[in-house]
Amino acid sequence: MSAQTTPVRTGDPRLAVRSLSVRFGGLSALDDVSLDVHEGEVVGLIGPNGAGKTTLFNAVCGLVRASAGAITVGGVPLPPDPTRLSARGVARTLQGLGLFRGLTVRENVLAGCLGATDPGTDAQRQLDALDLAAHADRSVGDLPYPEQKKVALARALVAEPQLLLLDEPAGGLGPDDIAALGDLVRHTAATGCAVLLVEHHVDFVMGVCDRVVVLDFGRVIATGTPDEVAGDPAVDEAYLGIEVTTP
Amino acid sequence: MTGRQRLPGQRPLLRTLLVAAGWTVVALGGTFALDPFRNYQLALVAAYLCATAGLTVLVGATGQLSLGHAALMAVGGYGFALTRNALPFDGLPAFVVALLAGALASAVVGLLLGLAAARLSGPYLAGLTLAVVIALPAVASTWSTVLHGDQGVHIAFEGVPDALRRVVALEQWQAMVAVVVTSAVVTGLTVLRGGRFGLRMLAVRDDEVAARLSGIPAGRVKVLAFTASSVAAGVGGAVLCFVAQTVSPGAYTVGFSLLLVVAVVVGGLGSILGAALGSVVIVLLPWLIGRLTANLPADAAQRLDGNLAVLVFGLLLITVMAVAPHGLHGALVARRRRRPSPDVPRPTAEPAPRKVLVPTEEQR
Repeated sequence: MSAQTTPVRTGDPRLAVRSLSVRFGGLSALDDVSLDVHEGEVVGLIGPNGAGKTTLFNAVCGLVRASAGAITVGGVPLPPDPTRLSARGVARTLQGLGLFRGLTVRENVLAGCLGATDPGTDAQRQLDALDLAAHADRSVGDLPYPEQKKVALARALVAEPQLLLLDEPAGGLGPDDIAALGDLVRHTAATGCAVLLVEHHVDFVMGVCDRVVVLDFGRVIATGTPDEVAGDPAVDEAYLGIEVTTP
Repeated sequence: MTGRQRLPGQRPLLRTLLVAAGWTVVALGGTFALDPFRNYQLALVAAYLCATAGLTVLVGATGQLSLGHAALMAVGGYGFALTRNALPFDGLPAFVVALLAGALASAVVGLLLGLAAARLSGPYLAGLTLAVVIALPAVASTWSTVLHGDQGVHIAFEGVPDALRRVVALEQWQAMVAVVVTSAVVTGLTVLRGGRFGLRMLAVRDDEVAARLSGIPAGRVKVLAFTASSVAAGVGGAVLCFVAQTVSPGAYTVGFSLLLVVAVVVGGLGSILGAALGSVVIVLLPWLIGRLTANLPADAAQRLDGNLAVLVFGLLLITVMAVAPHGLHGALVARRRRRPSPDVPRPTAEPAPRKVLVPTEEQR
């Protein structure tokens, strides 16, 4: 379990989001959002539906254009081009899996490291690491949903990213798979990778994250350790609609 | 320092080249067994195969639907003819230079179309490419001083080289040239599709956003795929011009362009062998229909001429899609998978004793 107070991080964050705003016409999807993710840290991004979590991911990945603010990885601004992310050590999974349905498991993982000198060896290593080797030559659509989630993770991890963005990784998984996913996320962070994850499964977030950032209506309403955030009345109100009364 | 390694399952280049050389030798040998008309048909199949192989790679691997590949064939044909007529020398060097010019012309047009195609998808791309083939006669008329309008461009007759004239007839020579050129095109497409670029194309087809997030430049992949497919079609047009010794807009109609799509779909989308089967179908079927209607009264034969082939192609397309949705090649693969292996023991004629579930004492 994570520490009780917000750990003090030194050095440049791996991912730094500063005063990020995204507008869709008259709608403000993100408003002056700032957050950091450091090397070896797992940060959870939570909030009710429509809070702007995936929009923030999309802005980091260059899939939507920010109206204001800055995003840096390793202190260098990110190019607004998703295809250049992997070269900058950034990998992302998608909410809807984003698998290549016409390809085998191995080919899906290979697609994540085609720029490597020996993608075959890299892909095999990742397949072995996630216990997918037995399914390597099966069509990815033939696998059960939890295994497909693992394939999506394997594709994101195969290039050994320095920053990993996970969009609802626990969605649709059972308790055992979620526990295994938590171990994997912690193991990935232990290798030095910075992990930012969006998730609705609050228990998973509280168990695996070092810090949690809570968004509501495009604004950061709370940030801190899981325990700090869990005790924040503003978070209860945002999530449960409970009116917080002060004495 | 080691170079870039092959992907798992990727056939070594040398092996691909050897297989291609083997098939080419077989096809060249086959020309000796065919009469002149069959060799002419073989040359047509080879020319069409260049276009359908390029089209099947484009549609099957990247999901970009082009209805205008006939126009790209025409570009290759015009490039070939105009260059061939402008060259001061004859023979094989002239053929090679003209062929390269045809390929270059189709590459340029394909690149321009590909740049637009990368921003379009589905019916919008189909519409754009269809507009190109519809515009072809108008383009030929507008620049009639160069393209000679509906009459088209004729090239000087060039027979069999002197060294082969005693053993090879004209149609056989044309078929041999067509086979060699098509073999080079098909080999190039096979290599392109089998490597990293092939995997990139498939990834872009299946999920463009996920592909981009994996570092695959989806736009560039689509443009390159369209250009490569255009070059293949252009070379096919050049071969057709070599065989027919003319190129005109009347040979590259909307109907012919759709026929190329029919060939690809009937053969099996994404399969080069399927493209070959489809090319055979679009060459042989009109001829077969012509043979069948030859004995009809003149009036009926005249009414059916041209129309019956369209009807039969439509029926064929519907039938193949209903019976074998993955086309002829897909059906062949499925049949091969269903066939029991000789190593697997066949089931005995005597049925196994039927198992009956009997409740245990406890269950009772």
